[in-house]
Formats: sequence, structure tokens, C-alpha cells
Amino acid sequence: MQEKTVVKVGMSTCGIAAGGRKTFATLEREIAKHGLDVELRQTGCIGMCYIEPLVEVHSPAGETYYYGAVTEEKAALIVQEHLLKNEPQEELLISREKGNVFSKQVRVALRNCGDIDPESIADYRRKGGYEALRKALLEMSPEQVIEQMLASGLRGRGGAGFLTGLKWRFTRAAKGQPKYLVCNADEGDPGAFMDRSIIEGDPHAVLEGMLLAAYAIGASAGYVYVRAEYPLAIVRLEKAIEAAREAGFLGEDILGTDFNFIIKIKKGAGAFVCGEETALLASLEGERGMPRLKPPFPAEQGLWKKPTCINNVETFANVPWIILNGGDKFKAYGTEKSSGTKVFALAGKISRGGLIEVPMGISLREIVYEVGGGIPGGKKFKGIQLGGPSGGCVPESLLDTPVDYESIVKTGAIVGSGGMIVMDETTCMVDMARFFLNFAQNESCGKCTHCRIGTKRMLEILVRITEGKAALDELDLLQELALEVKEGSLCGLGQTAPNPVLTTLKYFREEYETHLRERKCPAKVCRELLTYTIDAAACTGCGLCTRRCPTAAVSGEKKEAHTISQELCVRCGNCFDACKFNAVLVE
Amino acid sequence: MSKCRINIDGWELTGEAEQTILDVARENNIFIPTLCHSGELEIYASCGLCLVEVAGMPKLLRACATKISEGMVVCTDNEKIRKARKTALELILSDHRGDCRAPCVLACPANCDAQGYVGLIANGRYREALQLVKEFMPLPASIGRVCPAPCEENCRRQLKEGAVSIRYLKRLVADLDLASDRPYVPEVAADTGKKVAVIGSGPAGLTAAYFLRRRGHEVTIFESLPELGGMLRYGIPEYRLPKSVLDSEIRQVLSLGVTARVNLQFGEDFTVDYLFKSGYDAVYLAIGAQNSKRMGVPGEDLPGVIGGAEFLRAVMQNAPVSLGQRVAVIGGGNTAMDAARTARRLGASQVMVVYRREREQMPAQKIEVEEGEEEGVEFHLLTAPVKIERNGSVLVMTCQRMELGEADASGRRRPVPIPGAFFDLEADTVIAAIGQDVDAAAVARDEIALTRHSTLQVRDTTFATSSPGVFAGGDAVTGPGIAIEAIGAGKRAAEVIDRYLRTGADAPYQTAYNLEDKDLKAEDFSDVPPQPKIEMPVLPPAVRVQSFHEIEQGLTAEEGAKEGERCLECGCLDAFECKLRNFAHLYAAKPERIIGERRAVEVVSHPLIRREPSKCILCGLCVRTCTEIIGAEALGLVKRGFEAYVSPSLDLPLEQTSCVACGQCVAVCPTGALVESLPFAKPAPWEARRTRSVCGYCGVGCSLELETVGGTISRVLPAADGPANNGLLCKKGRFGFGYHNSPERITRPLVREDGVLKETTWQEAMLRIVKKTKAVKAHHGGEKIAVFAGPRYTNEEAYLIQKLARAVLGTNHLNSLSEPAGPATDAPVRDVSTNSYAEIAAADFLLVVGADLPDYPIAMLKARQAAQQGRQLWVIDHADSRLAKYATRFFPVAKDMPARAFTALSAWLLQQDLYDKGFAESLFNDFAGQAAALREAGPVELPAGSGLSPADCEEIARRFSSAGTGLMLLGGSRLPAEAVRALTAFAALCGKIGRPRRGVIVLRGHCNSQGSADMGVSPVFLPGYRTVQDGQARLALSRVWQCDIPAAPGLDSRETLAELAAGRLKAAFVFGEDPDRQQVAMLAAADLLVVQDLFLTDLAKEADVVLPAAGFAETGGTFTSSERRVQLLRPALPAPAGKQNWQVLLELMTMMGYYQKLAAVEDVWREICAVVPDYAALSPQDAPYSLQKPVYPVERLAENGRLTLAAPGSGAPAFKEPGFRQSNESWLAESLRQKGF
Repeated sequence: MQEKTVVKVGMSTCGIAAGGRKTFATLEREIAKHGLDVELRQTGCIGMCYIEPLVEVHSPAGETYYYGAVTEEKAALIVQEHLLKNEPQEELLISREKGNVFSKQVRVALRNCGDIDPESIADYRRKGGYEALRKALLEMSPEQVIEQMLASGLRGRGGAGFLTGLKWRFTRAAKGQPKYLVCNADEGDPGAFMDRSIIEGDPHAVLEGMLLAAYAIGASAGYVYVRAEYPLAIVRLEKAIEAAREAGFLGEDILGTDFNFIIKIKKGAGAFVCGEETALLASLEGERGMPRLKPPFPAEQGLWKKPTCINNVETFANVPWIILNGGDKFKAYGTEKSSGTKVFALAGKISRGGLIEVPMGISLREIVYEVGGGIPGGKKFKGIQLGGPSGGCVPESLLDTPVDYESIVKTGAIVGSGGMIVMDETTCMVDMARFFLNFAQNESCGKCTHCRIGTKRMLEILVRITEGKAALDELDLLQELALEVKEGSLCGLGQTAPNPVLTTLKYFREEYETHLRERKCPAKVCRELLTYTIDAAACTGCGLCTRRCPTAAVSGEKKEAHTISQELCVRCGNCFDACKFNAVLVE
Repeated sequence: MSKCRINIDGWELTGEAEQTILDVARENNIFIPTLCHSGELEIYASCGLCLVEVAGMPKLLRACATKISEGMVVCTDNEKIRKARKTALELILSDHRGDCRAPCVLACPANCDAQGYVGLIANGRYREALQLVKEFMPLPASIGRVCPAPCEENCRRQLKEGAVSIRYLKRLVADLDLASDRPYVPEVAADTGKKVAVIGSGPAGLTAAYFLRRRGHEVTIFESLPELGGMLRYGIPEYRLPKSVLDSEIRQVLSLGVTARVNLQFGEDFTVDYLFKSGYDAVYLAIGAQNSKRMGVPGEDLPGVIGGAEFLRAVMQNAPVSLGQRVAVIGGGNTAMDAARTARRLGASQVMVVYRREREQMPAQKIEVEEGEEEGVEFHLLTAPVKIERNGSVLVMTCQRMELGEADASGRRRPVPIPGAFFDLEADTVIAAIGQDVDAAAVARDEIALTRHSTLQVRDTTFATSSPGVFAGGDAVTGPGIAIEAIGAGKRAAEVIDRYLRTGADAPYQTAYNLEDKDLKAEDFSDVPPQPKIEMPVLPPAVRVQSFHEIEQGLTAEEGAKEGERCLECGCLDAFECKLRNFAHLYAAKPERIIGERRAVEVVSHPLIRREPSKCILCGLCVRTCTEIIGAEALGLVKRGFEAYVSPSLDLPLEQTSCVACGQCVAVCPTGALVESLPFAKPAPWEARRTRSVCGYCGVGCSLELETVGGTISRVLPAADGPANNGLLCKKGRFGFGYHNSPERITRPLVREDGVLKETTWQEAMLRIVKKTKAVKAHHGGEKIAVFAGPRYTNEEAYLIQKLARAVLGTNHLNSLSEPAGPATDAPVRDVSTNSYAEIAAADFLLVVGADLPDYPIAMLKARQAAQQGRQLWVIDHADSRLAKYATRFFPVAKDMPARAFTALSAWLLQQDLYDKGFAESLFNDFAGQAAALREAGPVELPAGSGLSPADCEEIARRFSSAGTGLMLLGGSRLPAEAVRALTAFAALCGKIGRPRRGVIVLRGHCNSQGSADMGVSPVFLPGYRTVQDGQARLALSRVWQCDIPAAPGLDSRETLAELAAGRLKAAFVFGEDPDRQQVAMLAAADLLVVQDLFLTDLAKEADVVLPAAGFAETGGTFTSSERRVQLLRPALPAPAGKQNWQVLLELMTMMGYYQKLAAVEDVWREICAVVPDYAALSPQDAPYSLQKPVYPVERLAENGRLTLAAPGSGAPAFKEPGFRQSNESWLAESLRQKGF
């Protein structure tokens, strides 16, 4: 039972980007001005990124109030009305309860995110932080730790879904010393920010997870390979490492045992492929970030050819909870083969975009409509891209698919690291496939033939389709190339890069064919295929479109219906945007 | 390591558990393609070609990276695998730019290597050019006159100022050959016992006969007309092809042993059936198409209307032909033009060509039409005859006017009659030249199937007719075509028939895969300087119509070379070796279907290495070899994804990086992205001849493949199975061959006349030597003669030189100036290399003294690799050692550190009583005494600043002696004898000499330093290290030599020079040495100075007689390497002065009155084996390239006090400058300096 009112401001990248710092400063100033005995603190992302900056007010009575999109004025209002007068501002509250966003959520990895101050080890420890480490070091053997992990059924959250306990067991059993532990925080999928939010919101959970893993596999040194594009995460991680070292959780003779462990941070080199574990190891060694063929797996020959265990951030964040609560408790969530909970980043055409954590086995429909609040603007759901550029697109007809590793793979997509991008009727699936393939193609390291040239040739075909220049039989060539690239590429990047193309070809083939046969883009996205015309009946001859047209393609007398010259038109859409009478038609 | 059993393609195989599928497949000769894998490098797995199917695995796996496991079942070839490999190849090829072969080559129906011979002509190598042309056709002088040159139509030079005149160039070299004293006669293979009948002697028949004969078959040509040549003789007028030229070329074909039987009409006088019954094994039908096509108009059978082919044939046979004044020729092809222009020459005043289309559509060559017009031929275009009537003496031809309509199947616009537009033409003669038909009647009796066009029916790829063993080609199959098409058909048929004769089966003719770059534009050649085409001089029209004299007068050789320079060098220099091209062929890749954005065409030149990044396939072999093996790290990968490329560090020019110019990147590049800069002004892809040899630089003894084009070394490649180098070479070995081609070489003997050196004959020069030597011997005695032999002479040559000295001249003053000088008794240190390079990788501890990476690159790379694999590499050398950075421990020592520092190592071991007692004691004479002396001498004092402290010595001694196995690598050209002696004594004390992985290798500075010592190039040692004072040894030798051998030890090199300078020695013979100025002066003091060398060195300039030497690539024999391995050299080039060195020596000895039964270099070798005990067990027949290593007899160490522990008293420095260089090294240094190294 807390004694005084606590006010928390979401200060992850999402909160800060939305103006959280100003909100925080305003609250601080106002609270000081009024001399209120209120504890103001920052916290990580609670997941409602769509409505940041988020301010939570926790009353001593145990009530929680969520204020969304809190501007400086609103912040001042909250202090004056709510804190000073104890009159919660109903019209500014998201809801008194957490509402539907949280109704289906179970927070294990995110248990502290948005709750504790990520920069305070004390806050973490108040929530039971480092108790799992204590338990493991003092009461459990490394083998017992691994057994608990196996009992939990936790599968690697980085994407491949390999059993974490098994990986640890292999690394422990591998010949060769020293052994290394690596935390993969090189999150690179477009639209994915699970790992960033966890580090920003609860860095100690990751460190504690690494400590437990290191103890289990017998490593005394670990690296966090983190994207250089995550400056806040890096800062919080550095602070957390320093605090943990000072508190004796890192370094030598940890908790009085003979267990030693140090953690170093390695900033990523900015390549998506470095999220692939062998490329990541090459990068850590100071080499060009290019993948190596597996086997040998890193568990046998990893960093500097020594046994190395690589897990991602979310995986590590789950570990202390599992050790503290027991593997069985984690396994109680989720499905038989996909146990526990999984964090997803919801993005795209969705009402409540943000970070969620749900038990595995929940259906996509529940996530989209109940957790995410459905599609905004009354638009129609079209598909959901799972697993980023390595994943695939699942259509409406498969929305009841349960979210577990096996079921999702059956659709042609993958669970991946947890990115979910929702698309509505205004998304062109060909264009979407092109976007993701373009991403993968740009991020190919260039080592193997199939990925380097194959993705390029596929992309060229896709571009030709979106520009209406492709021949009909190129669709078959595209499919053939996609399968060959999937089969022949060296690492996961190339092996999965064709997935967006293959799944959209599978579920939205008619949309491709419309592009090819009719030279039309049904979603009206592919610029080269659009035709802008003016509805003479609706046109008032105001001339606005004429002025906005960069190529003087629109002409017409004042107050008379205008026309667009198709030869001159570059399909920029300025006229469409400019017209106030919906007289410009697009087809 | 445990064994695994696996099954590949049904074969039950066994491999080591650590091996990959590819390793096991290769060991068992199962083919799996790969472009990126090398067994020497870490697994990379990028190209995606080695995909195989493993039972139970859902996906194809990379064989190069998949370790085998027990019971694995692998399939390396099925449809899925082939498709996957094909896709991978297509992806690679879709981003690979260039032409495998030049467009001219591909355009030629005979695929004649135009770029190849044009290039040779540009380099002034006319004879080699002709030889190359003759690999494609037997009649280049004729074809060079009549060919419409499809090659030129496709020549890229058209993008600038017009095609290279390839046809003129072919004619030029053919004419030069015909006019030469010894026209080229190609080799004919040994008789196969098979007989082939060729029916028809036109270009197809002659070509087939020529190539079949060259393959050793017995060939008879059957011809219905009185003379051979077919349409070349009877269809092409004299003014285009003088028959004397054709006759000469036909004579050349016949001279190979081809029989011709003329005036025999096929189908009447004989049949195929008859031929088979007469013992022929195969028949080639090249009967042509010589019956003029009928026009199908009324009146064409009237007298005065004749066929074009018949008309030309009649003229050629000097049959009476009466034309009248007005002649109408119907048709627009070459036959029509030939008929029209011939008619003009026969006196017709008006010649009209009547053709139904426009001028642009005329199938005749443009030049024919133009020249015809110049000669007054009239053209009636868009005109077609519809009937011919006779009106008295005149033929009246009614013609229909035509216009052009839609394009027809041939792509030309179809002529359409204009209704009602008729007119009449009057002529005395009408010649119908609208095409020719095959004489179908000829094959009727043999029932050979015809097509519906009445041509002979053959299968596309085998040229086999419906009748077994009967093949056909030329016009008879295709209908009338151009001569070069018939020649191509004849050549291809010869290949197929040859295979048929050898195997009894029709094997399809295969054409290689060719990538073509069709997107090049004029802008791509903007940096090519303009150079106008050289015009062919022709007779003026007025003169032409008066006679049948040849119109084209021909180019001069100089004009030809200049024209050849215009070649844009389209074809890839790697065309004959490119792995990508081979695989593309094998898997029938069709990259066109996925073509997209490609890299820009780029060529980066460098004095030695030419880079074409647009041909790079990113296999990374160059980058990885440069990094992992050479350690130079000069190349790297830049950018990512599709934009990734290989580049020298920081995108600098290669010369400015850490590149050591070893060329290893070129050796591993699977495509033409990295090739050698060939030593020609105009490089072209040539199929070079390869000769296996041994490097002529340092004593490591790397195996080479010498490539020669014509009389020039074009490239030197490392031999993959070279025992010393395993496919590696250093800069010198790889690129330092240019001196062989140098114009500064001495090519004739020189004799001093009136103080000036003058060229003379061998006979003259040798006589001079004999006379002068006799005089010296008569006045002063043989012992007043000094002999010097450079360490680059082969064992055979060195042996003969010492034999010359001892047996003929009678002197033991025999030295090498290029070896470390010292007291003659130090010679034994040249005989202490006890172990082999192979042991370097296996020894626990390597102690390298005075040997650096640039000195012995390939041996030192092995040391470096051993260090990288975790073995101890301790280096004692100057501070600037390049090996130092790879060393486990490095001891930088002062240049003037006294050699006795090394004695300190032994002293410490003795003092600590840590030496290998039983072993060491047996190797030293009076070990106890020597040890006591050293102990008594107390600690060896080292001057401060020498770099090696007593503590260092102690540490080195302790670690080296206690290591399980250890090798010492000593730099023989920088360590003086006393240093080598101190270190070998130390090695012996450690028990590390002459045992497996424990021993000493003294690296030699020159390719045959070791052999030349073994051969007895020494003032005190006879061959095999028996001393000259050893009476028994002398006796044994004199029995073989049949003469006395001087017993007094000779002077060492310093003493010899001093005696020469003082005038006490009277004559000097110097073979292959390039001494410094002071020594030159000392040698020049001799009354007689004989010098043999490659170049006119400073010493040679002082000589009385200079003999030209042969370089290592020009000689046969053997070298003995630093690891005492004897390896064979084979001459890749003829010696420029006509004699190899051993021949010169044998002749000289004979002329001096010494007779021996040695005639060939092998005879000399056999005598060496008989005389030198170490070599007795070796025989050149045992191994193809490398003989066994002479096993080092450890007990020899005990002989003659070779091992001494006594501390040398002198303060002589432990390191010295290397010995004198050879003239070719001076040349190389200068040449590299000029190239910016």
C-alpha cells in the first residue's frame, strides 16, 4: 500500500517522441508550484503508444487513472484539478480501468514496463528484481535452471522459436572454453519495437535474464549487441549495467558465490542482417557483418569459434519470471507447443497501435479487434503482416488462426519477433510485397548469390508489375524465383525474404493479375497505374487543381469543367488532394 | 578422427567425420560444381552451386559446407538439383557483363578466332596469327579474298569509325605465309587406320578433308571436275580470287597426305555403297549446289539463255562463251554480280542486272555492287522478267515493274507486281543467276533422303544423313551459301566424323556457352582514341574491266599491324578457363529471362593485374586468399547487397595498397574479373601451350606452368600440385618472366675483334675459346685458369661446368660468386638442409633466423600459417623483418651482431647440461673435447646493443631444446658460413637435426644453389662432397671421366679474384654471374675472359668471348631446391641462340678434345646419378615433375668436422648483405622499377 499519490509519465521513445519530456517538466513544475506531496516519476512504455504521452495517477487508495495524449496544458490541468482538488478529469481519461487494451493481455516479459522507473535498480528490486538470480545462484544448480527453462517450454522470441532451455543445454554441453553469452538486441524489422521497449522500460530484467543464462551455460562474459539507432535503450542499459555492478550483481563472486559475469555493450553496425545470429557474431568479431553457414551452430562454434548462446531481449526478459515462479507456471499460459506469452508490436491500420503481450494461442481476430480496437475510419480489414520482412501476410479468411508457432507457419507467415502490421482496403498488396522485398533487398549483405541477385531480380519484376510494365508470365517467374531464393539463400534473411511475395501471391493473386491484365491497381496505390480524371458534373472550375498541378496537365476555362491531359499527367495526386468538390476521380 | 560411411550417388564411400560432402565427393572423383569454394580457405558457401540432396532433408544443402555423418545418403545430380544450379548460374550471369568470345568470333560461321589472330597481327606476330587461323580453316588466303566477312558486320569498332578489316588481315598473314620460305605445315596426328571419303572438293569438302587428315585419318577427295576447289574455283572469278592462290592452298591441304581423285562423277562413276565396300569407314558428302535455279518463265530454254553458275564454270574452264554486246543478268546475289562483272571483262559493252527488289535488299555484298557499278554495270531494280522471246538475233525479255509490299519470311519486303506495268529489255545473252539447286540425282542410287527443298537431309547436331556413316554439309545441305559457312560446316563435320570413327557413334556437335554484351554503345568507348581504318588499295575501274587481274592489292605487314591495333579487345581473356562459362554450358543457363539492372562495364589496369569488376561474381576467393593465405589484406568487400563489390583497400589503385603483387587473386578468380596483364601490346584470349617447370628465382623450388603463345611466355601460373608451393607463387615467380622476352637478350655469340665485341657464329666463338685456352694451358698450365658458375645453372649444366674445369681445363679454382664467400673449408654448410617444407606445418616450434618473407615468400608463408595455427614461431632478424608481425616472439638484432652470438645458444645448453646426449655426441668429432673447450671459454660475451641479450639466448635455447619437435629455418643468402655452422651445431645439441619434424632447412637464395653445391661447384669438393684430396674419390671419378683430376684444392672466390687481378691466374670462365664493378675489374685482368650470360652485363662487355645463355624456361634439366628436392625443367621456348647451355658445354668440351658419350641432357643426368651418391636412387622416370628428395644422411654430419662447437674468435657480423645478383634479377628490378614498384 503506497502512502502517497504516484504520478508516472511514459518516457520511452514513444512517449518522448510524443512530447513526454515537456509533459514531465510541466507536471514537475506544477507539482512544485503547488507544493504537492506527490511522487512524480518516469516509466517505460506501457504499450499504448497510440495515445502517448501517457500519464498515470495512482492514488494511495489504489485507484489508477490513465490520461492519454497529455499535452502541457492538459498536464497543468491534471495537477490543478486532479492532484490538487482530487477531481479526476473524466473527459481526459482513457478510461478508469485499463480498458480493452489490457483485457486480453498477460504481462510476463512486460511485467514491469510502464510501471517501474527503468533507471532505478531499487524500483526493479522492489518488484522482486534479482530475486530469481539469488534463488538460482544460492539454491539451484545450472542444470536445474536449465530444467526449469525446459519445463517452461519457452521458445526463443527472436523469431526462429527454438527451445531456449535446449539451446542452453547444448551450449553448456559444448566442448571449448570460454563460453560466451550474447543478447541480440539488433531489432530491425520495420514496425517492430518489442525489444526496444523492454530495454527502455525494464533493462534490469534483461540483465537478470542474461545472468541466469550465463550461470546455466557456464559463461563469464556476455555481450549485448544493440542497434545504434536505439540511443535511449543504450543509455538505460549502460546505467543498468553500472547499477547492477555497483549492487554486486555483475562482476566477480556475484552474491558471494564463485560465479563471475561481465556484460559489454556492442553497438550495431546498422545492418539488418546483423540481427541474423552468425552475421551478428561476425560483426562482434570486428568482421564484415556477413552470415556464415549453419551448422556449426553458435552453441558449438560461435564467437571466436567458442560455444556461444545467443538469445534475444524478450527471451531474456522472461527468464527471471520463469525462475522465480517456476517453469510450469509459464507453461500454464499458451498452447502445448507454444507456451507462455508473447509480446507483439501492433502497427499499421489499427486503432490502438502499440505494444501488447498476450498468451500464445489467442486468435489474430482477438488481437486485431479486441486488443487493437479494429480498423480506424470504418475501413475494411484486408490482411495482417506477421514477422516483418521475413514474415508473411495473412488474409481475412484466416483471422481465426491461433497465434502459435506452428499454426502461423501453416499460413505461410511466421510469428517472427512479433511485428504485426495491419492493412486495410487502401493497402495494395503488390505494393506491400514490393515494400518488404525492397527492404530485404537493401539489407542483403551481398554474400550469397540467391539473396544478392535473386531478391534484386524479384524486386525488379515487382516494380514492373506496379508500373504496369510486366508481362503476364512474369508472375510465374516471380514465384519460381521466390522459391529458389527461399531454397538457395545462405541465411535467414534470404531464406525468408520471399515470404511476403509468396504469401501475397497465395492469398491475393487476383490483385497481382489485375495489375498485370488490366494495368490497374485496385487499392489505388501504384502510381503508374492510376488515371486521374475530372468529373465534369462535379467540377466547379475553381482552378485550384490547375494551380497545384506541377506539369500543367489540368486545363479548362474558369468556372467551366476542367480536364486532365493523360500525356502530361505524372499521377502525383495533387489535384485529387486539392479538389474540394470530389470532382477528381482516380481509377 | 572417426570415420563415416556415406553413400553418394549410389557409391558407398568412407570419409573422416570432419569432412564435408564436397571433400568426400572430390576425393572420389564425383563432380559437384562450385565457384566459391577452396580447400585452402575457410568455408564460405556463397555461390549456391554445390547444392545437393541429402535423404531426409527437406531442402537442398550446400555440399561445400555440410559435414558428412554416418549413413548419410547424398544425391549430387537430379532434376531438382540441376534446376537449382541453373537458377544460381542464371542469377550470377544476369549480373556478369562482358563477351565470353568476341562478337566477330561468334558471327563467323566457322567461329574463326578473329580476335585472336587480329591481336597477334597487332603484335607483329604474323606467323602465329596464320597458325591460329589454320586451326579454323585450310584456305585463309582464298577466304581472306572472297569472304563477305560476317565478322566485320558484328565488329564493335563500328561504334567508332567502322569495323576492323578482319578479312584483309586474314589474307595478309596467309599471303605472307604462302610467300615465305617455309610455309606453315600443321601437325598431323598418328595414323588411325580409318579411311574417309570426301565427295566434293569445294570449301566444305577441302575443310573436312584437312581436319580429318590432321586427326590422323586417311582421306580421299572425289571430284567430278578436273580440278579441286568447287565453287571457289568454278564460281568465283579470277579478279576476286586468283586461281594461283587457290592452287597453292589446295596443294598445302594435299601435302598433309590427302589423296584427290578427279573427273569422277558421284552417282554415276561411284556410289556411297561402293565406297563402303572399298574399305572406307565414313563418307562426307560436300557435293554443293551447282545447278542454276530455273526462273520459271517462258523462253528460258532458248539458246542464249544460260545459268549463272554454268556461265562462270564455262569461263573458268576456258570454254568458248559467246555473249554478244548486251547481256542481261537476272538476280541480285553474288553470283549475279560475278556473272555481270565477268561479262564486262569478256567484252560485253552493256551489262544489265535485273533484280526484283530494291538495291538495299540485294543479297550480294555491297562492295560487289559498288565495284560492279564502277565498272559500268547497269541496274534495273524492281524489275522481274516474265517471258523471253527471240526476235532474230536478239532476245527480248518482257519485264514487269514491281513495288515493295509487306515483309516476307526472310524479313525482306516482298516485291509485288504493279498491274499493267510491263516493258521490254533487249539482250544478246540472258544469264539467270537467281540461285542454285543441289544435283539431287547424284544421291538417288544411294537412296539418301532429301528435304522438300531437295537439299540433303541431315540431323542438326551430328550432320548425319539418313544413311549410316554418311555425313553431309555445305551448300548441299543448306542451299547456296557463302564459302565460310561451308568451311564451318566442314570443320564441325570433321569433329563429328572423327568421333564417329573413334567411337562408332554419332555424338552431337556442341557449341560452348557464350555470354554476349549486347548493350554496349558508342559512349562506352569514348575513351578509345579514334583511329581510321586502313583502306585496301584497289585497281582503278578502267584498268579492271580490261582484264581479270586481282582487284584488291593487299595490305603491307605494317599496315596490317596498324589495322589490328584498332581491335577493341571484346572477348574475355579468361574465355578458355572461365569456370562460370563452363558451368553455364553444363547447365544450359539462360540468364536472358531474368536480366535486369547490371553493373557498369569497367576495366582497371595495373602493370601486372588487370581487373574487370563487371565480371566479378562476388565469390570472395580473391579477398579471402589475400587475407587468409597471403596476409596482404589488399582486397576487401565494399557495400552491401546488390551493390557489393570487391575493391582494393579504401578503393585505392592496387599499387597503392598493401598488395604484394603475388597474383594469387588472379590464380583463384573463377572468371575474368581478375586476369594477368599479358605482356603484349594487344592482348587477346589465346589458348596457350603449357609447360611444367620450376621457378628460376629463389631456392624454394616452386613448380610452375609456363604458358607460351607463339614464341613468347604469356603467363606463369603456379602448379596446384607443386610440392613446394601447392598452387602458390610470389611476385617474382609469377610475373618476373619478362626477361626471356627482352629485346636486350644476347642472341648470337660475340667475339672481341680489335677491342670491339662483334657478333659471330657459334663455331667461330668456340674456336676462339679453344685456341686461346690451349695457349694459356700450354704457357701456364690448366691450374692457371679460374672458373665461376652461377647458381642458376641446372644440375646438368653445373655438373658439366665442373667437369669442364676439372677434366678438360685441369683446374680446381671453381667457385660461385653468387654464394656467400668464405674460406673454402666452409663449403660443408651448403650441405646441411636435412628436412622438408612439409614438416614446417607439423613442427611444434619454428626458429627462423635471417630469413624474411620477401626473401623466400612461399616457404615463409608456411611458417606464417603455422604461427596462425598456434605453433611457436620465433624469429631472429633485423628490426625491419616483415615476418616479425606474425612471430610469437621476435628478436630484433643489430645488423652488426657478431655471429658468435649464436654460439651462446650452444654454450648455454652445455652449461646447463640440457643437450640431447647420445644423439649429439655421435654427430661431432671429439665431442668431449669440443664441449670442454667451449665450457672453458666461459660465457659468450655479446656486445651491448647487438640486440640479443644473454637472457634472450637462454630463453631461445631453453624453449627450442625443450620443444617436442622443432625446425630451424635459416636464411642461407644472408647468414655467413660461421653463423650457419653455429646454428646447426646448436640444432644438433637440441637433437633437432635430420629427424622427422626436427631439423634444419637452409633456404637458398638462388634456384639451384643447393644443386650446384651438390654437383661439386667448389674448389675443394668433388660432386657429392668428397674432397679433391680424397684419392679414392678422385680415382672413382676418373674412371668415369676417363681422365686425371687435379688433386690440389682450388682457391676460394676471394682468393681467386685476387690472383686474377694480380695476373697470377691467366684465364677465367664465368658462367651466369653479374659481379660488382670491383670484381669486374679483377676478372677483366685475365688474359682470356669467357662469359656466358643472358644479357650483355658489365662483365660481358669486358670479355674476349661472350656466349649467349638460355634462361630457365628455355632449357631442360633439373634444379635441386633448398629442401633438397630434385625437380625437372622442360623448355617452354627454344633457346634464342639455338643452343641450350648444356649443349654449349658439351660442344666446347668436344672441341677442346675431350670426348664423352653424352648426347642428351638425360645422359648428363644419368652420369650424375652414377657419380653423386645422394642422387643415385633418383630417376626421372619415377615422377612426372618432381623426383624424390635425396635423403639426408645424418651420419655425414660427423664427416670432415662439419659440426663444430668451438666459439669462433672473429667478431664477424651474423648477417650480411645477400650475394651478387644474376643478370635476370637486375633486369627484373629495373623492369619493376619502371612499372612503379
